[in-house]
Amino acid sequence: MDAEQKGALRAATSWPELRRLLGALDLEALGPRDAHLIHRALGRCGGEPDLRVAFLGNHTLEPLPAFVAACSALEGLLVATFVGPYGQHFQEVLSPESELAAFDPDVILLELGMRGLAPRVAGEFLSLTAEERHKERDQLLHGLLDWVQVARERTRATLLVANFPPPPFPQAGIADAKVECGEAEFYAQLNLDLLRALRPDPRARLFDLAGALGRAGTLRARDPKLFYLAKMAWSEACHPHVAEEILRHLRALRGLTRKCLVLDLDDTLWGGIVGEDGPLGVRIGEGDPESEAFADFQRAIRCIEQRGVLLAICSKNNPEDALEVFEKRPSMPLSLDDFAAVRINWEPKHLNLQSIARELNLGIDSLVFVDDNPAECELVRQMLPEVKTIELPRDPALYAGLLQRSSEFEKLVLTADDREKSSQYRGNARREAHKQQVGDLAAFLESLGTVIRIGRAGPQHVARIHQLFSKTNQFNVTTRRYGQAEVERFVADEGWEVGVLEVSDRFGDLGIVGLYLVERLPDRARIDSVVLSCRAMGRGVETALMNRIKQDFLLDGSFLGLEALYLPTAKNKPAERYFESEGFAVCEVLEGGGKRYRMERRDAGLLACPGTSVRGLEET
Amino acid sequence: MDAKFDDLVAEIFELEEGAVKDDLTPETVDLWDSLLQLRLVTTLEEEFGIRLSMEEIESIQSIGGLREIVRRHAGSA
Repeated sequence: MDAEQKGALRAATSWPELRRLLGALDLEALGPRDAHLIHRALGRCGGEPDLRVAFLGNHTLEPLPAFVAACSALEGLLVATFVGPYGQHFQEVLSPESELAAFDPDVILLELGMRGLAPRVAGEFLSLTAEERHKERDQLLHGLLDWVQVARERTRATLLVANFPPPPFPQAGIADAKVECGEAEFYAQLNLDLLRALRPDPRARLFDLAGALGRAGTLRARDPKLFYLAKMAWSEACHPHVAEEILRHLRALRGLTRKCLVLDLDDTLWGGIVGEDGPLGVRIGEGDPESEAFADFQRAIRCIEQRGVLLAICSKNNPEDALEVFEKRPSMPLSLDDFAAVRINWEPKHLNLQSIARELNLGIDSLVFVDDNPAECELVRQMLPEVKTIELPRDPALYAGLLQRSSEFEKLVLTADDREKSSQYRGNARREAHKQQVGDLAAFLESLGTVIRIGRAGPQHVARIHQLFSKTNQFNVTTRRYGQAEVERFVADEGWEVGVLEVSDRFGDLGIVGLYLVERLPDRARIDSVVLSCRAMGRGVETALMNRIKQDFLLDGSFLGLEALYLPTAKNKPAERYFESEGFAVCEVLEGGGKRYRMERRDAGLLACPGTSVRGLEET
Repeated sequence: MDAKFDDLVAEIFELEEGAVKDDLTPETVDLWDSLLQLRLVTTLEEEFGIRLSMEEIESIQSIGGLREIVRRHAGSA
């Protein structure tokens, strides 16, 4: 930051103002002094935080929270932080009177140092027998898992549990590798046990502190002076890396995951210009350094696709030239089939990006745009600031690493749905082509052979439900963003019903594409949320879903009335008239355009959803 | 060295420009606590490419004293 930027930061008085100033800064160029300056400005500006993050540990954790708050602010997230008194991680979650309870965190990071937890392991490893080492490891693991258990019960927070970075030099030197249960093995096994124990738990996540410190540099991450003077375990140099890793979790928890990666072609997917070098002349594949770098970039892109991100092409070229590369260079890691949308023309790129978003039914802020041309990148930054633009460096050797480091595509879990995403969209393209062929909409829907399975959600659906709540913007009647803990509670609580909906047709399986959440009140049922992925809209699925609610809550006799609410946002226009079209009566129009609805049992007629077959979840 | 030193002290303790004086002490500077003092030291170490010993850090009683230590290191660097 220059002096002018610093001055503006000091003068900022509100979060929106600060957010605007910070939007211009680059996360990777953020130094410790900048982070502290931003943290102070945040303290002055206030504002309702998007996330409340608590840090618990057994050594001084400052200044990590300042870095986390500063990095998050750069990404537009306002994070409030709290640091618990050290060594008190059990008391803080157990006592309803604790400061932690008053802070009511969304996320708790637990970072325990070996020195405080198991001093003999940290300082006298060689004096321990193999048996004692095993015992110490078991105790460490169970202590952590006990804490997770208590914290799950006593808080609503998502729990991040840090693993243990091994010491830079084992106490036995190179002979450590020949010792039974040596130090390297001790840490590797402990970290592995912790990873495996936390894996099935939807609320607790391993925090890879060892990995983040490794990226910072194992030796640079330690400054013994800071430990002796202030009980700080890690040097200032490693905080940007640790904060970046925390931010990955926070972004994913908030559903800030981008959904589509849009790529240029020349000097992006391959080296050279196809219009000049020809399809056989562009550099991609094996044989020379540049070609290998581009092939690796394509492999990195493929990994992003396998996380459930859609790929698209946006290139200024003659389409026949560009498409020829895909035909004549079949050994390229990516094929044309990997791309859900393709724009190869001479139109300005921002118009193409808008049209890609429309075709894929995505918000423009779901896009990441990657190009090597600074002018194109600048145009897109200017015209579409909501798009995340990544300008490639000059050297293709750096391309793959840049994408692998990006936190734009972080997801909490990869569901079966994510792995299938791209083939589901290819199914969509075939559906669209089929629709053109059939011509008449009703005949088209009939011919799709849509099968809808609806039923009560179980624990196995929690991850997908949370994902739908956090990511769906368009067909979402109230846009309530429930966290993982809340979803678990809804699924388990008899007072609530969470229903999920799976759709398949002759072109493929769309997976779980919708959900509803209904609360049972003493005298009526209340529809809290209806969420439907845009992939499933407009083919009778909406009506099948509401029929099921009518059936379960009104027609089977348990309630006389059903109530519902629509709250408008900038994006949920497609859901605006949903309840009207399903037969609800508006009983109140709220300030800001929201609407309250009611339906009595006697009005609850089931509506036809032609061309669909509706079944229970497990029915075949 | 002095101008840069003054800037860094002012930034970390949030002092007005020109308010950095050698007779400032933990008692007279609102924000001066042990954590922030340590941050000031690590910042100075980074900016001047020097390393202070624990003994030197513990001996800091005033801005003038700290300036003297930094000058000694930076001069010999």
